[in-house]
Amino acid sequence: MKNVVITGADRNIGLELVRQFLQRGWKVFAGRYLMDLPLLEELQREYPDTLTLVPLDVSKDEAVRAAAEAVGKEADHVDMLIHNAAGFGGQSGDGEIDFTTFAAPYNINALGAMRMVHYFLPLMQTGMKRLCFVSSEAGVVSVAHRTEISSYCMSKTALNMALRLMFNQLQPLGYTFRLYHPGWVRSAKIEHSTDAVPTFKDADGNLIGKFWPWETAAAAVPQFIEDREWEDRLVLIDNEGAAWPF
Amino acid sequence: MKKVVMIAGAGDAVGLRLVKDFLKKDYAVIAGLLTGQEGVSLPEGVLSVTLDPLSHQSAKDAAAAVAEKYPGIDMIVVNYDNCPVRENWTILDEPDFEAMKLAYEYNCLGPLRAIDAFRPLLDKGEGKRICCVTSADSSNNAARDIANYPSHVSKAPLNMAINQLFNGMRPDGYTFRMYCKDVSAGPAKAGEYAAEYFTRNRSNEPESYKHSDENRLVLRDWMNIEIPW
Ligand SMILES: NC(=O)c1ccc[n+]([C@@H]2O[C@H](COP(=O)([O-])OP(=O)(O)OC[C@H]3O[C@@H](n4cnc5c(N)ncnc54)[C@H](OP(=O)(O)O)[C@@H]3O)[C@@H](O)[C@H]2O)c1
Repeated sequence: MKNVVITGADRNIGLELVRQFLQRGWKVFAGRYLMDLPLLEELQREYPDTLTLVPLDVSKDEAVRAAAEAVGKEADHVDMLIHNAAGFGGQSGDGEIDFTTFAAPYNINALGAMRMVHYFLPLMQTGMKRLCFVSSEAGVVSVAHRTEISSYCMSKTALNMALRLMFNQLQPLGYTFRLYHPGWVRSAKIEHSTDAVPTFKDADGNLIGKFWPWETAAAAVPQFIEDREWEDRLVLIDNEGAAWPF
Repeated sequence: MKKVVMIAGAGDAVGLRLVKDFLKKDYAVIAGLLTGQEGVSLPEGVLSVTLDPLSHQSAKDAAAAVAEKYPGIDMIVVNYDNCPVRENWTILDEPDFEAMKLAYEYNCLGPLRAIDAFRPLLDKGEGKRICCVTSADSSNNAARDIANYPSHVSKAPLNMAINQLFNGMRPDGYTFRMYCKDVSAGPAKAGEYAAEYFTRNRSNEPESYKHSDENRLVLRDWMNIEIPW
């Protein structure tokens, strides 16, 4: 049985990735961050033997180290890592720009990916050796189209750079990389079971966004699982199979 | 009247070179020095202000001090780099996350703080040009490295932010320069061609949208070679 560790798994894309790996018979270690949201616990009742919940705050060295230790107690190795967690921060255009909000997305999205790889790599010396990252077109500099300075976009650019450096070193050592853009997904940012789920409809009743979380997860899972003949290239690929530049 | 340039980060070798080169081009030069650099000796006639890349307020205070002497400025050049020494650790070693956070605050948010604080003075000036000294380390496409994370990972997001600034401000008449200094040439020569690059008009033909460096944002090095983002 193959296994996977997934960060930011409490809801939306992360949660759907957990569900779909479980459906395929994988053992899943799901990183819990939103302790008041019970969706992972509900899923665990369906998959008591193959779903393990691991407290995991990727913004803290100690928390990631402890999570790796906890996973190492249950599994002799890890086949696949998926860094899906993301944090958001401020941007320009909403009045006075508040740079103090710009640190968190960098720390979660870019440094979080580095912490995950650094602390989990000792468990990934055998097995599939696959490192997967949910990034975004928002981090692609060459097609940057937004007109506000966005800490989120900047953090995804930083993530892509950190991955480039990791790829340059780890790919020759047998690790394979997946860099994924999920498309414009209708993610409900709920934190408690009692929070209302948005309808994702505009004033005219039209659906906002392009994909549901389960749709993008269904596109991601085969990309993450299947081997490629061109593992020597780091390419950002979206849910429709299109490759993006950097 | 002379054109006015504000150089944030004027106290290191690259910055001092910029100060001298802009004086040669007959600009009025304001030197933005870091805290602790107040003793740096500047050529005569250069107004100096102190600003800290890590503090938005200090950039605003510096802008207020400049506004007392100059009603507007034509150009801002930001030259911040707290990664002059290569960090050789890789992801397999012990990453220095604190150094990475500081590098981001300094190399990426530092320039944005300065640009934001001086924006009102730039709006009042004629030149409307925003320039950054960066390095080829910032390029996601060109990075062949396996180490030096603080430099690479802090400078790449500045490229994103300046692209977004460009998108928002180019329609208002602003032009931009992103310049990769020659790190291999040593501090004294690293910024040798920067002032030349910052001051030259880069529109090939007034009506050319395709072949004008003014209507797209480019990253170029000291040899004028375009570096992919
Ligand atoms: N939805 C889209 O259209 C879209 C487009 C492009 C890329 N993406 C990417 O897709 C991924 C999943 O996003 P999503 O749409 O499913 O949104 P999401 O529900 O916000 O998923 C991200 C999860 O990560 C959590 N998180 C934040 N800080 C964390 C930390 N320090 N440690 C661990 N987890 C943390 C978030 O919790 P909090 O509530 O605390 O934030 C959230 O549960 C992200 O990487 C996102 O950038 C999404």
